[in-house]
Amino acid sequence: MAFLQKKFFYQTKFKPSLITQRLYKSNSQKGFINLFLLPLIALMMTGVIGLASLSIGIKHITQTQSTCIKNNIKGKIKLGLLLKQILNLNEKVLKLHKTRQVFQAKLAVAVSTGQIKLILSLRKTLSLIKKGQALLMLKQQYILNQSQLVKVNTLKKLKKDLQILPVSKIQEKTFFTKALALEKKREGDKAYTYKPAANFTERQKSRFLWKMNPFYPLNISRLIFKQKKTFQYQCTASLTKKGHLWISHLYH
Amino acid sequence: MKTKHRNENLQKGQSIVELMFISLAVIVLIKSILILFWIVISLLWMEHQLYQGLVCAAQQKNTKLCESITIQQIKKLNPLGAIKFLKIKKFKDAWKGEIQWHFYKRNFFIKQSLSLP
Repeated sequence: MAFLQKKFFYQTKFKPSLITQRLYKSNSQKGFINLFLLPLIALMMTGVIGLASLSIGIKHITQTQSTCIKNNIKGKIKLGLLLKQILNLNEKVLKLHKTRQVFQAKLAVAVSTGQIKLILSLRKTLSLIKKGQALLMLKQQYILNQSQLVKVNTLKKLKKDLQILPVSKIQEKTFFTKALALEKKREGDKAYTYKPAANFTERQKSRFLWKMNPFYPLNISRLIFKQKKTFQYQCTASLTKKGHLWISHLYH
Repeated sequence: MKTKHRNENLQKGQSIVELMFISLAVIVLIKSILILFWIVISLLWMEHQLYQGLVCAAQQKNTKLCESITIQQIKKLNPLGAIKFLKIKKFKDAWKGEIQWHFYKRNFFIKQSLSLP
């Protein structure tokens, strides 16, 4: 059809007829809707990309937060069990300490009276008590070492779990020098009891902090802030006593 | 000759009329797309803020305080529509939240949960 139109035009050299003019007009109007659709498609693409980046960003934030909460609370549950164990040992420590004091007094009396058999048996009993005290001290030290291990492993596990996400500078902030916020009290020679430190929940809390560009891999932060921007996030957990149990919970 | 001029006169302004009709259709289409985008953005934002509200409640703060903070945060970015219902509650070891949002003659329901190990 187009070929015939061109042939007619060049052959006659006159102004084309009305029919031909209409044909040309209808051909020139083809693509009118396409022109209109181009900015619409551009708008839709921008919108879809914006929505995708927002959805990815929110998903990343929620995912990192829930991973942190899960790991932090699990770590605190383990610490709570260890705390309960070490506090339960206090009774035994005090009992042994009192028993030792009693037998030491009896030994002093036996020495003064010169009853050799009694002295030997009391010394034997005292050495057993001392061994018992040493064993308790070892148990307490073992529990404290375990708590330190739990603290280190919690951070390690969190770093491993957050590896797949666009997270950097994961660090832990604690509010006490050791893993368990305990105060040590000396009960005579080689005997210590432990009790929760003053303001325990506040001092037992541990805060994990991390930096993240939530919109990775779509770096739209460059468009908004004119530089690559990362945001800091954190999650905090602690322990609180409820009855006989130590409950782990999120904290501010 | 006369018919020729009449036809030419009839065709004048044809493109303007066509443009008017198409513009109307395109405006309606763009409006619908923008409303759809706005709804999706709002739902994503509310879902995120509801999760933050659950975290707030799990920090042993007053749930009503957390609910009011959540509503305030939602309205910062999304002043349109009305939040008809927002509730944060504890179920055993999990915190659950629900929002009912009314926008453009429709109700949208958002649910989130935060389970603690």
